[in-house]
Amino acid sequence: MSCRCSPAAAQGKPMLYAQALINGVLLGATYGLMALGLSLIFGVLRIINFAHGNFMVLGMYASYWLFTLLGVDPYVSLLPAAALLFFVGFIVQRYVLNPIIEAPEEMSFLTTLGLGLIIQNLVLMAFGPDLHTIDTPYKLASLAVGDLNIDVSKLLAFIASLLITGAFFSFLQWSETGRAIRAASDNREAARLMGIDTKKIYCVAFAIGAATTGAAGACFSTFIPTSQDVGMLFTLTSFVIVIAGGVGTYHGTLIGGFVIGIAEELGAVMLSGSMKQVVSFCLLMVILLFRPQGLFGRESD
Amino acid sequence: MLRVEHVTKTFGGLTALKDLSLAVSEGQIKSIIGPNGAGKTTLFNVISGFMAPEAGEIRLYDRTVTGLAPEKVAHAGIARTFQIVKPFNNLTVIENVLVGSLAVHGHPRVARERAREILDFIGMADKAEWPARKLTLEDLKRLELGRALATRPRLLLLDEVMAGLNPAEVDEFIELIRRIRKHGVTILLIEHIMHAIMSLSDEVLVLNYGVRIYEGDTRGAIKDAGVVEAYLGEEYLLA
Amino acid sequence: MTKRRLIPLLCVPVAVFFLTIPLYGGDYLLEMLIIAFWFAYLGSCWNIVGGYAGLLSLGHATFVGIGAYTSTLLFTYLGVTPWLGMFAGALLASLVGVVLGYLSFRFKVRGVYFSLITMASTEIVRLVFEHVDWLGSTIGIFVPAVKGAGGAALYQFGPKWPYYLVILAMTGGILWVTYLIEHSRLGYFLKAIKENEDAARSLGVSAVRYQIIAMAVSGFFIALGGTFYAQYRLYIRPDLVMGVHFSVEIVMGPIIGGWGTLLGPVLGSLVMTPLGESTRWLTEVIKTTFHVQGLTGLHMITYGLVLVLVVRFMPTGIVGLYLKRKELKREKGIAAR
Repeated sequence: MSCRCSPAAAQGKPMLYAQALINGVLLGATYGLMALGLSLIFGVLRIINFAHGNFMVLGMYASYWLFTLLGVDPYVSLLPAAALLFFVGFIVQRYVLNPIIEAPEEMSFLTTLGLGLIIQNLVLMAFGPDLHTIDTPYKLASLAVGDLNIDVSKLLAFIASLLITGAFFSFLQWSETGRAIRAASDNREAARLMGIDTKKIYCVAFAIGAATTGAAGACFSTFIPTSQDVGMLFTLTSFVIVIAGGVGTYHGTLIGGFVIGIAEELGAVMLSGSMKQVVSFCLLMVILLFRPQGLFGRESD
Repeated sequence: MLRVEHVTKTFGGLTALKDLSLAVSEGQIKSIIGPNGAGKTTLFNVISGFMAPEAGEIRLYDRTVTGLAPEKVAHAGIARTFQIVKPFNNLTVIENVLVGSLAVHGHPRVARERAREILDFIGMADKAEWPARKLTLEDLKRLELGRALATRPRLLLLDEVMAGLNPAEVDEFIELIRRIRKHGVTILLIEHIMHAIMSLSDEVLVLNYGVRIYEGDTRGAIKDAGVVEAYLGEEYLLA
Repeated sequence: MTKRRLIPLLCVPVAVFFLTIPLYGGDYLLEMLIIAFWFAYLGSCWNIVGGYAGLLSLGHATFVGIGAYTSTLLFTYLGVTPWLGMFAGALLASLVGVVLGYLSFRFKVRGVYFSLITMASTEIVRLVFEHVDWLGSTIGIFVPAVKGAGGAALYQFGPKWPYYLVILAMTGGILWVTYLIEHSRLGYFLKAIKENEDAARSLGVSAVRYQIIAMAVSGFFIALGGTFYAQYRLYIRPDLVMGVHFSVEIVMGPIIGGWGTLLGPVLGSLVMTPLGESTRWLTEVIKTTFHVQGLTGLHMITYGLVLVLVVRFMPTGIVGLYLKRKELKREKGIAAR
């Protein structure tokens, strides 16, 4: 695989890389949050959610419309966006995925693929193909640290994502539902025998996975244009992150988010903006071939 | 014709086979017995190439087959059945056997004839067109046996092939295995059914915790102190 | 056993029916049938890997793209007739398939992870092609149109019906190839590997080798379909002949019709394409009658819906459903005796 490299400017090159590094870290937190949802869904339900990126997009649109119609700041609309996606996720799991939960994984894969198509095109039909940007008052603001810029939007996204991630972990660790979810992901049969209503837990787990993704979408909406066709891209990126970090470990997913965020930003600088996904996809292939358990995953997967 | 030499197989912290050596002579029927978890299936997995040992060699007719991929081991002349049967469910009975015979016979017509012969041999010719998933356990085990035979093996590894069968079925299998040996196939079998072991085996190897604790004829096995201790509490050994 | 004789005999009137459509069907019908049979062809090629080998590849678009671009570039820059160029494309695609297959199977990438690798690979190829100028980048490449009688030799025809006959022939051809494979060593081995890989290996069947062969064969034939597209539309672009979206479209036919069966992909495509076309037509009608704009995407929703419903209610596809009913009838017959 040979990539075409466009030469970066001779001067300021290390600066460019440093800037890319910073952007990558900032992005990485939200990427991690997005992928965390997928990790939860795959870990608990063993479902390869192909509509994941489309959940992101729904979150982005929710944020956009709340801002445009009601003037709600995207970081506030995180909550309604997450709530909306929770609802959507619950319904999807309850009526579409639970019935086929015992079928081989390829079936749920194809089903979520179909769902993704439906969601993407419903969005297209409802909102049109145009890109929408959110013009928050702080959109162009940035903090200067020496020669480097830290975008306020990205910084807020970073902080918000970390907060939500923290909430996610606390929930899993300390709440009863969270414990039930962890039990069900470790051993489905045992959980059922212990009286845990696995079907309902699946709905909750999927819903939470969707909700965190929706929140991530709201975070991204401040600096990435909202449009319906980035769904597939986000889905594939989420997969790269989950696999790179290690399937089945949430910490791995978080770290994977940062790794991919940095890799993409560096890739954008070294190759060119539109080729940055090539970096993630190449990384995905390499990992799947040589280290499918990712950085922190368990060997057995 | 088969030599297992100082084979050690570990899984993480667990040693499944410890410096195990054994030999099988041509035309022999040798049984491997031992308590559950003794390493019997692991031994088969190592011999048939599904696992590679950490140490030791496996030789078939002086040819080293250690660590070869399962398909290569099959081509070298070792066939096996699995403890939990693995039929090709959506293929018919004859197609199942055909896969085995196609692996060794280049010409499809020859392979098909050979498959039919095998079906006659194992007594399933009348069910040739049945889909495998419709078979009873006994027939599935028979099919697995026939399928392995289709590859014209020199050595056949049978992993608890009679488990779950009723006494009448066990007797049929004992007959079948005797007939297989008459055709010149050497047989190594893992079993728990003492009746079968006593009637079939020329020699017995007792395994416990991955270590050989007895190798010799069947009469001696029952009397051996170490063997009795390994099976302590098992009624049928006190016969 | 008269039913067994019946089916091959039915083929004749069906074939005649399809062959004679150009005589009475209009251009619109021909266009739809060309696309339907094109997807039937692509789906059947995919079926070798996806259905028979059981490897859910979502990157087969890559091979189509390689076929389309190779023959087009050879024609545009070197004047090589696409009739020959398409074989160059097919060989190249086949090679890529072998490499991809070797990497995946040798490293034991299975199931959904394999699907992911194929998706990643087709997106990488698409993005690279969109980036390279002499490959046309995002603008694509126009196949130089040939005027006059020399067209046929250069795989270009004026009217639609020659294209229709070509794609019919190709579909018939791949069905015949699939039939041959089904009854050959390769076919039995692939089925065995798909059913139970360990058992197959214990019999001496190398899973890696035969899966790679499946990739090579499948890639070779599907690339020919890429050249067909290039010559029919006289225009290619990365997102039209490569990428995950296109791969998903290729897979629709087999899944709906029944993957792993001979006729499944063809049936599936013949059902899906008219369905897609009617939804597209419906969208147009509603747009003009009710002046409602935003209905683009309705046909993709239909595809998505069909996919979800098929997986839920008839995962073995149309043919699978038919076979199941047949078997139930046979069992009732046996029980009655």
